[in-house]
Amino acid sequence: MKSSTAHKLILVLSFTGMFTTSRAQATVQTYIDVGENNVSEGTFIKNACQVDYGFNRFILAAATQFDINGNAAHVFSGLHLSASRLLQIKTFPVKIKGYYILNRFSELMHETDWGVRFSTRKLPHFLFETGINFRTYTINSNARNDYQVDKANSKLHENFNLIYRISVYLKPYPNRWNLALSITNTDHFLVNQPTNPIFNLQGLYRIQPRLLIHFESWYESAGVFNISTNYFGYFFRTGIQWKLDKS
Amino acid sequence: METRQIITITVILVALLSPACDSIDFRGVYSAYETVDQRFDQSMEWNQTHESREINVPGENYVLYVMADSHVGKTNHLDTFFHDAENEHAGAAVMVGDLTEGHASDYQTFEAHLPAPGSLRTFPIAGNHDLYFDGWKSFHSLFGTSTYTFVVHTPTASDLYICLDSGGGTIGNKQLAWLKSILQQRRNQYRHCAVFSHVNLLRFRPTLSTNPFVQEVKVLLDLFLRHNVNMVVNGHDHNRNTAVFGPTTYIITDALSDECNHAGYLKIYISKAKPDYQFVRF
Repeated sequence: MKSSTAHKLILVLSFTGMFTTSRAQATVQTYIDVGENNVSEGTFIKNACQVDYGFNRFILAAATQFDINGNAAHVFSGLHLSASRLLQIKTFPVKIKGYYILNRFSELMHETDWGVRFSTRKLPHFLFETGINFRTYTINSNARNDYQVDKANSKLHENFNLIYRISVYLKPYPNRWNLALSITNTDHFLVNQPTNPIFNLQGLYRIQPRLLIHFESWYESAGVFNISTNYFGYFFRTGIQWKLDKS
Repeated sequence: METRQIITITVILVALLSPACDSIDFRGVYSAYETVDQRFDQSMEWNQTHESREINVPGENYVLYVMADSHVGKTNHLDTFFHDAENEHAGAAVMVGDLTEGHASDYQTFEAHLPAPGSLRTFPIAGNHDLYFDGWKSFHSLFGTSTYTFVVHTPTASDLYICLDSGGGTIGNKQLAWLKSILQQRRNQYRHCAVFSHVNLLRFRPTLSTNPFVQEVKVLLDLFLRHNVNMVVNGHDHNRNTAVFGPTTYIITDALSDECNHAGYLKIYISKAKPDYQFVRF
């Protein structure tokens, strides 16, 4: 066996060993959204599925979103990939997460978001999260041809957008059930501008140690930071989270 | 914290914030006087009872003067803007929101400084500040509508301009449906097309001034590409900025306000070629 092949094999085996011999944990979750807003042209229904794989203090996650009903251009409308690391900084448990989101909202263009988030549950009744997002709107290549768009004018960037989430929990985390009120500008497949907060009331209940059910109501109010508010939209979400625990 | 400390802090905060109460209507944080749909209905009703807005210009080329964020009160820059527009024989002057601070007295002042009838056509739209202190009633009484189109005819071509009400941070579903129908049914009849709306669609810099929700931005970006809108002009951010995305040039114009250190306005040059623009600073 050549030395380069042996090196590659050792690397692969080491990598596999990291997954199989360490304390690994997989979680599957799915949820459904039903709601409407000023641009949805009626009721929309979306479904998303996410798989998390945790090993040591790392978590890899992949999620997809499907538009079942509404005015969306594609059924497969979203992709979210992330890698997280759990850290202890002095007395603070911190989760650092790098993420990438693809939104296929139109036949002519799409949106990509990427960034990094930091969150902590240091205080048992609170979740604090903040981060930075970079957004790009891109005109698809077929649309560039159809509408004679120069490639130089096919991208639009919004950089250094602050993201945040503040959640207040009724019960200290973790608890078998909980109620939480959140203000945030971000969701699994949505990153709003920092000046457009969204309000979320969430209830969750752990039916059994490996199965959690949740129900959420989200309210979107435009113009809050303009001190000239106007209703924008709402949606309800319900879903389950199933822990495939190998330990 | 002791009660005495809480009271002291509260008194200090009230003292600090009270001057701002004259320019900020805190009710707007949780409740609007009218929804965007209600303002849209009133605008449409006014449009139906008044003649359509059409201008004839003598030459193939003309210039539009555009301003935003005059925040009257003070009117020195406003007077200069209208004076410059009249001197250059502008086809029209478009006023892209935050014309006043919402008080009825501000609207009276603004009206007193408008050009004389027949000297310069003016096209105003409402911004968020114009809606403060129940300001829509004054806007509607003075101008009638904040959602409308106007057309400029040259000897050989016609151009379509669309004015939107985004003062509440969203154009709302009724106005969106109206915008879609205008673009679908009328855009192809015209040479150039531009959209004017107060709240800036795109976020070019960190700022407290907010934009429409991302879901709404995406719908509008798609619409403007699909219907070959040449230009989208906003105010609100008080700082000029531009971007080109597809066939559309997105422009945020400086604030015209006398209080602004880098105040200015925008000139749009219309000809057979793609519309061009120039920022003018005081």
